[in-house]
Order: sequence, then structure tokens, then C-alpha cells
Amino acid sequence: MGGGLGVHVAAADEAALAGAELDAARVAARIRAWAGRLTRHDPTSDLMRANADVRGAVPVRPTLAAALRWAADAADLTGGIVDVTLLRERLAAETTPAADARLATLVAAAGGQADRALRPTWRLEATRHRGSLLHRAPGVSFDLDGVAKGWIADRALALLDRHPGALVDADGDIAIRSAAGDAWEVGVADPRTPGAQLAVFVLPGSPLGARYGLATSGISVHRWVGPEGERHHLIDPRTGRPAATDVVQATVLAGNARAAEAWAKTAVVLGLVAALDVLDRAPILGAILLVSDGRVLAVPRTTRWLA
Amino acid sequence: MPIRTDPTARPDAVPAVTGPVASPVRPERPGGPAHRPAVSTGRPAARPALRRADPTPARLAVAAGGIATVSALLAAIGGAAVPAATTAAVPASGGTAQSTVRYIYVPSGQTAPSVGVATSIAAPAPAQAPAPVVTRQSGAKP
Repeated sequence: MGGGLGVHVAAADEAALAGAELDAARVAARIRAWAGRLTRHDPTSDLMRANADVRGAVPVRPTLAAALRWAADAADLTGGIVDVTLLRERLAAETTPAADARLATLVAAAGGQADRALRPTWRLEATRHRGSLLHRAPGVSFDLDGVAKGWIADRALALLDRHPGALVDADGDIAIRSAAGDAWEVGVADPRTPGAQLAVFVLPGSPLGARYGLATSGISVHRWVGPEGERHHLIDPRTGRPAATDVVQATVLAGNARAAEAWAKTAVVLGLVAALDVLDRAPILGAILLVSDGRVLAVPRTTRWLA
Repeated sequence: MPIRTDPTARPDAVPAVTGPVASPVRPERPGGPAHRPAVSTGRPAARPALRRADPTPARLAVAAGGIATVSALLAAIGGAAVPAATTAAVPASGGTAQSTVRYIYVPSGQTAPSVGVATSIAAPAPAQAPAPVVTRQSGAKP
């Protein structure tokens, strides 16, 4: 799916180091396998095969089905702001030759339908023998990019449960488990200055193993210049266009990475005033926003987690 | 709905996910630290990402939140008819960065000003080493 991957495992003692190294390597391999099935950058991935399938009901394999189930939950959680059916809108914003070619393929698969006349719907149906059937309206194409990374990070972290602590970094969407007496320190990148950080989270453990998710979303990395001016990759599902927002970057700390990612994306799409209102009431631990005027703001309860 | 900055003051607030309470005392381990990150894959790490964090900054941050919360409640008790801004500064200690906490309490029936109701935070002090693990936008260079 592109991007970096980091798997950090805390071993209980020196004797457990070898096992921890082996587990970390195995988890990294699993992550690459999951990502390979969910990426939109490979036409042979499970996701892109489903997108190219012209049938209204498409059988999907367990990994894709599980990711789509979380996507549906994320949509419910965020009032529809997290929407994984915006692939064509995303490609239209990119205005690169590769994106144009992929968009043409998707339009052809939809029988030449270039625009969605009505709000598309989709659903997953459980079938016999633990299979899944993806029902979707014509023209619906899926992009799981950010949604999948947070989900993958959480899933990978669960594979490291036998170790006292672990951290999985899926291209900036981070799932963390801290053991009692330890604390993970995670910085928030400042997109304006390479190497600089807006803040540092200190995430302590507990006797039962505290779990966290940290994710960052923003509009300053994936940007393109088109005939109508600059565009970015975060599509507002209410307009089908790049979100008009004054939030350059949002970082959310939550109980897991997938929820953190959903709320971070929501904050950017909504813009500052609406984001602060939503984040103040959301089931999260904290959030940091970089605003277009240069301010760095935090939801008040965030400060207990900062260095 | 009025925007409030202290979720605990809202009677119908959605309870935030509660995380673990930071332990004020780090247990001493005989023979030195036993926890080591075994391996990081995909990106080389210059040093372990797992650290024994100095609890002092965290305790200061918690204290700052407590001070600001008290200030906001006092403004509300005072029965201000217009939005009141209160500020509190965390006293600098040993080179840690100052944080200015700004709360704006909006009485029922009024709307918040356009300025964000949130905490302005200061960047980490330059003397502090940057955390080796960083959350960033997808595709950003680590």
C-alpha cells in the first residue's frame, strides 16, 4: 500500500529476545500479505479485483471482508465522513497519468457511468462456510487506503500479545501496547519542517497492558496541481471533492489505531470549528490539530498524554 | 449546543475512553532495565523506541490541566454573562517547555467565537531528543 512499516517488540528478558525477533519478522510478513490484498496500487489485489468485477454481488475473501466490515463501522462512527467508496473521486483529484488510466478502467467497468447519480450503497453478506458476498450498486469502487492501515496495525498488534509490549507502525498509523512500568514515546511529525515534531506523546503501561492507537491525517503530503488549482487526497463525501478545510493535519490518540485513523481523517475533512466540537465528544483520548494559520491546538484532555 | 471545553462538566457527555493512569513512581528493576525492543523491521531505528520516560513532564501536564480546569469553573461560578477567557501558565521547570492553556466557557444559549476552543500547545523544547517513533501523514518521509 506504500509507506513505511515498523514493528517494535519489547522482550521480557534477554532470553526472550530471539523469540521476539522471530515474531516481529513473522508479523511484518503478515502485514505485507494483508496490505497486498487490500491495496489499490496493484490491479491483482483482492480489492482491485472486486472493483473491476462487473457483478452486483462479488464474493470476497476473509481479509477484504474483515476490512470492509470495519469500514462500515467507521462510517457509522463518523456519521459517514469516513467513506471507502470514493476511489473514483480520489483518482479524479490526483490528475496524474497513472491515476487517469486507473479511473478510465473503473469507469469502463461501470459500463461507462462516469458519475454517481445517487448515493451508492453497499453491504456485506455472510454466506455459508464463512464466506462473504459484497453487494454494491453499479459504479461503486472501493479505496481502503487509510482505513486499512489502522485496521492492519491493530490486527498485527494482536499477534504480539505474548510479549510484554509492542508497537506496530503502519505508515504513521500506530497501534501500541504498553506493559506496566514502561512507556512508549511517540512523536507527532511537523509537516512544515522535516525532522521536527509538533508534540511527543508518552503512553504508559498498566498491569493488564494498556492499548493505544495513534494516527495522523492531513492534506500537506498528497497534493496535486490541476486546472482548477491545488487539490489533495482527502475527499469530502458530502461534495465528492477534496475537502475545503483549514486543518492541515490532525493527530488522534484513541484506544486503537483504526479508531484513531477514522477520527483523524474526520477532523481534517470537517475543518477546525466542527472538528473541535466533534473531537471534544468523541470516544478518544486526545487530539492535536495543525491549523492553516500556524496554530497547533489540542483538545484539552490531550495534555495528560504529552511529554 | 454550547461548546464546552471541559467534558466532565457536561452532564450528558459521552464518556471518553479512559486510559491507564500514569504511574507516579516507576518500579525499580534489579539488574537494570529488562525490557528491550527486540527488532524493528522496515525502517532502521537508531535507538530503541521503548523508553523509560521521565514522569515529571507528564505530571506537569496533568497539573496544568487541573489548574486550567479550576480556572474555567471559577469563571462559570462567577456567573459571567459573556464568554470569559481564562489563561493559566505551567511554571517552567528545568528547561521544560511552557504550555499556555486557554479555555473559553460559553454560557448556554450563546455561540462560541470563531477562535478554536482548545488548548494551544508549545512544541517540544529543542533540547529534547525527538522521539524515534513518529506518527505522520501517510506517505510522508519518516
